[in-house]
Amino acid sequence: MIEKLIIGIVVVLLYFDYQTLKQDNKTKKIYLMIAIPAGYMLYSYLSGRNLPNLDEVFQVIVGPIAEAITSWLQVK
Amino acid sequence: MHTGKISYWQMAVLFQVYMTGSALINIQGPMLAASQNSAWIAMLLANLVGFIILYLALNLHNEYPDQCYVNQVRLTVGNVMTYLIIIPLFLIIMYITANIVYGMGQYFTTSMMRETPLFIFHLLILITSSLTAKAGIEVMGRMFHLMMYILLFIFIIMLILPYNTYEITNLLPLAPLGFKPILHGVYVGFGFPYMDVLFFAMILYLVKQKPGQSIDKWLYLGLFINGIVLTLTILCSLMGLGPLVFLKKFPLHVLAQLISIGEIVERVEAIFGIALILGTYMKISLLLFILDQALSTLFKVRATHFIYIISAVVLLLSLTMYKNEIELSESGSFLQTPVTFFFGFLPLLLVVIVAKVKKNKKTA
Repeated sequence: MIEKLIIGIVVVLLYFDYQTLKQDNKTKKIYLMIAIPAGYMLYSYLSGRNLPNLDEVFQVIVGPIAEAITSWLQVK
Repeated sequence: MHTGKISYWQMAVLFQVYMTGSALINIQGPMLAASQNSAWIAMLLANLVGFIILYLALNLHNEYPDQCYVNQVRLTVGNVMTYLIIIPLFLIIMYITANIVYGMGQYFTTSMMRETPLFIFHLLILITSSLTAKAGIEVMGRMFHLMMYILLFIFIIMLILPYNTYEITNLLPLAPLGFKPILHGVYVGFGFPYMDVLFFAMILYLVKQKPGQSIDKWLYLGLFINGIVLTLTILCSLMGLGPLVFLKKFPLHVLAQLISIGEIVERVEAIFGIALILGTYMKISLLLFILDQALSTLFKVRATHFIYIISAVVLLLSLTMYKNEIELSESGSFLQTPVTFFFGFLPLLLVVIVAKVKKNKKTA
């Protein structure tokens, strides 16, 4: 409960931070662009669903290479 | 772009705390797990790789001394390529920042404050760091100066006080499994902390240029000191703990627990916790500043507006990426190196080569 309350306060503070941008539309757009993945992760966290995240994206892209290298080093 | 300027010495201090800060606590475990008794050799070799990265970053900096890395890329390979290079780099820096935050939280929840929820540590460190980053580079330059002395003092005390536990024979056999474990240590050290040198190139332009002087020697010296300091921590952990060291995630913490001088100076691992918080706080503050720098320069908007929202993303990344500490160490020592190599090192190499070719064409 306290956890959700704190996260709620953080979200409200971020909204105020967003409001300080005033008429700067380009900055506002970029701000929202960053807020979208934040919303996705917030949903993932609060719902407890463990949705795919950045590390899984990296895992898909470079995972096989990392696997090959560490296998060659005979340490994994 | 940010506007504040700092002196050579302040930039050298920032570089030192940035490179040594969280690595002072986090690097020994993964390095020792990868290279065992030869971890200190691997550390020195990884430091050597750090010199190559620093050489490339300084090469670009000397070519465009008034520009940050984003603009250096833009001036060298054009606007479209800049987006292709910087957006993945931005994601990597966020990913690494989240890893560092998680590393600190994990240390506290596994060793000192077991009942406290993880998110409390993450939230508090990110609030403090984001406020510091928002204050700007000049404030950080002044403030981290004193903190670096405190950090180094704690580090020296931590290594000197358990002197009675050191056994030089614990360092032997030097490389019982051959050269491959050493290479594995270099592999780990490349991803963290030495690839972080590139991220620091994002703020190198903030140094106040003086005619006839250069920042290069300060940074090379800083990197050398960093290598020595980290190697010393590994050597002392090995000598103090023997084979037990390979099972510990935070060997320096265990080493601090062993300190016992005349039944007065005992159980000083809380001091180690202070060093961990200091180092992590300074590193995260700088990383948040660098992230804001990268984003605002990439999209050509005013700086410092994104620090809070970036901190929120880092907080959520640190809370959602890993279910437990095993996943974090897997990610840190297995995934981080190829990720930073392909999306950080290779583009840097490409940009440096293109910049050299362009310069040669101009002079010809």
